[in-house]
Amino acid sequence: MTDFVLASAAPDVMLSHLALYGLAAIVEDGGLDDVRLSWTGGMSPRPVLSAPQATPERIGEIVRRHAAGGDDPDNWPSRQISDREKRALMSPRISVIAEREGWQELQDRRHEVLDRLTGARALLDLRLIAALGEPSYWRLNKQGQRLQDDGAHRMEMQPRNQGSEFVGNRLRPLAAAVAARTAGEVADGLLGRRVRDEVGKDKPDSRTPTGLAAPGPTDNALAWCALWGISQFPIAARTSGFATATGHIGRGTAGYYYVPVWAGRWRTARHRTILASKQLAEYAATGLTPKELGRSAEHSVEAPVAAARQWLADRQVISVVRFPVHRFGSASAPERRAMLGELLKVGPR
Amino acid sequence: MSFAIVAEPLLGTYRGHVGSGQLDPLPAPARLHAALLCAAAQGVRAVADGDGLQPCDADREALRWLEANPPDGITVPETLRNGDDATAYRKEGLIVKEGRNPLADKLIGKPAVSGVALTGRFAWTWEQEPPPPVATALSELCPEVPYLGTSESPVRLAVAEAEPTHRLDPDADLFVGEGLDLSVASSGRAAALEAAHREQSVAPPVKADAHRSSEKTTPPPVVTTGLQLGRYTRPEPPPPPTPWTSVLLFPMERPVPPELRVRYAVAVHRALVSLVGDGAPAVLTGAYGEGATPPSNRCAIQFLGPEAPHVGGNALALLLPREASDIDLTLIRMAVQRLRQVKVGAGPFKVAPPVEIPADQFWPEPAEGTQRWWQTEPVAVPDSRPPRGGKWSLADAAALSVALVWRDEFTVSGRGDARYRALAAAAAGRGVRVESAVRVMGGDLGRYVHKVNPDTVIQPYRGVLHLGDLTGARTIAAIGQSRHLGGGLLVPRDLPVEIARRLTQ
Repeated sequence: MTDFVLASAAPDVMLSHLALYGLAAIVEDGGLDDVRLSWTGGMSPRPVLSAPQATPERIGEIVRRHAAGGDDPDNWPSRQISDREKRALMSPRISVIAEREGWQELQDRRHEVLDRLTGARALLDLRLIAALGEPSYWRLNKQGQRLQDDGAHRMEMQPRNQGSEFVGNRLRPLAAAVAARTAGEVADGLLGRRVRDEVGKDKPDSRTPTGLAAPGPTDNALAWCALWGISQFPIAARTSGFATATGHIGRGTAGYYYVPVWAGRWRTARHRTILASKQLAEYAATGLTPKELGRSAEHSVEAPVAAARQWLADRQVISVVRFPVHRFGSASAPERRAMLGELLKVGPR
Repeated sequence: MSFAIVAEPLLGTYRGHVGSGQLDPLPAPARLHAALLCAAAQGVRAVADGDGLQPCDADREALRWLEANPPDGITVPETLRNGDDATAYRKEGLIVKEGRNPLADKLIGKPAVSGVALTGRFAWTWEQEPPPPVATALSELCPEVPYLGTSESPVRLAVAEAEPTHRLDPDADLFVGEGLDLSVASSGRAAALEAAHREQSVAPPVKADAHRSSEKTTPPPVVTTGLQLGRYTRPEPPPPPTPWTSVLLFPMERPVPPELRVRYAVAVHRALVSLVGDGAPAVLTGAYGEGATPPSNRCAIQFLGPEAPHVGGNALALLLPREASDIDLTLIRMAVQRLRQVKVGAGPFKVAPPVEIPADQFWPEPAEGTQRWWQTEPVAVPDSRPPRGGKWSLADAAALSVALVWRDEFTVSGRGDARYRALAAAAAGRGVRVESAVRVMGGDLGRYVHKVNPDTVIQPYRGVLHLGDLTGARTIAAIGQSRHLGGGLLVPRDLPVEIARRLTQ
């Protein structure tokens, strides 16, 4: 087993967790065998990816190749809504579509992409697209206005000012930046040896973290992996409200994100089962009032928390990190951000 | 000799934020370091550096010492978090492209920093006094610090005396265990902050300084270089006093079989009472005067097998109760020196002169990777009949016996059966767990007790139990109705930690 430590990824930052999940998904998809995930010990724990061939060169090359695939003009991130509309077809939140024909065309073009990816067995791409969600044609408010953003994942936090969207304004530039690096440079960025923010031009208020961390220079390879980490958090669309997103509790666009921290080395499949578990969501709600959770006051959460804690402890989950989501900036296009995480320890008291 | 820096919040509140504006519940050691650096670079002790100021060499040395020596302890008063989610509207003099008149002095809303109310002072303590020049520099720097956190929380800082409430745990793991995780300055912190300050103080080029159609304040980036997390934990409360303070251990030649222990103990008891003679203290005889409230525990007589520590073999143990007076104890200690021979039906047995061992240092430490549990030796007998109304198991009876031995630790209301149930529940609340309480069947059960009401059903049992935080791992004690005469002795039974953890959950 060779350990690949993301040395710049602090545990109280959401981006660090997603970077680990995304990196694992990318290298597994890229053909690395026997991948395991863990955290180092001590007071400054760091995420670790272990595999027999987890050398910096190998991992750097797989991530670089993956980014180059995302940068390919024929691939789905480069597809546009239509020939006239430049915005990305696979973005979950796009500018408003008013007419029926527009929706029909969007659906047809999306289905074409999905069919092609299914034919190519591009499972990771499909997983990310499914997790990101889609513009919800099915949601209308009482006035009959379309609530187009309700089918999107909460972790997709690209602000919507001036028509910007996630795939075109985040994924595409990052893919280009990472693809332009050498394998060694990609690995250096992931290992925290050198932080380069090509997309954000290394500015102190760079928005490369896309809400997963406070604004600031963020290594583009790390950010690329973190955005792909969203693929591990599936959503369930609903006709009567926001889509329910794995890893998110609380009301609407605010609320809280949560991720588990475990002892020992986990495979990604095991990690996904814990991530999507009801028990993790219940435990993550520890200490929150019904109001903060967006529930009515009758819903008492006391009893399930103890059972959920036991369930998690039995599965070697040692802590749950909960990130409050705050909104900044204008009311029309708020910028959402996962704040510093709070540790909810699972161990015996 | 210890050393401490004490911060007295002048308004009784502390306001500060961490990350992107989250409430800081208490000033971390890193914040103290930053405040001292600021005072050193801007206060009366600063020295000229071109047009500006910089810390003098003595202060730099003091700050380096702080980086190399994180506080060993901190003192945290009681705090209460104030309301949340307030927005502060301020005129910031910026051009904002919203509304009709972009040049209006717009009120801009930002999350306000709420704070915490305090009942006392913060302090950072060191067990070792710093070198004299560092101590001098720190004590002269402290009064220069105007506030900790935001400027709305002024403090008076001084080198003074303080007792830490939390201590630094160098072996802590972030994801496991409890405590305060605080950022601590490590080497290079002052240099990183100074460099960041210099970078921020440079006037921007004219082009970058021009106004724009929509402006925002951009706070300077948060410098995280030279920061580490340190865990400060509250020291564990000491275990309550032991029920018996010390043990007089008499080496013996032969072991006493388990089923004869009560009979032998009664014989020893009789011998001791006659040795003390007239006026034998009640803690030994067990005969208390009319109306007197008997204490929880009296002198207990127990027999140890070949595994007995300290004397390397079989022994008779006389446990001296905590509640006995000094006069009573002196009488007993003088009398036992003359104990040589005890007459029993099966023939007399001899004992060697005793050694006295503190009760909380009796048993050896548990082995590495194990947790100390206890086994009743030979058997324990419940103190009462099962209380009426509801279920009552042998495990409950054992928990009740433990609660009666450590009776001073529990305050429960009620009488009779309700009190027994409350005591058993209170013991469970202190971590007492009973595993595998098994009733002993057959034979003459009467040999395990001395005197009982003829109507009582005797239910001796063997059990394995954990005493929670009631006592340390090395304490000798006995439980149950026959604890004073050869029954219910608790001998160590060490379980692997993995198994013990399952049982305590």
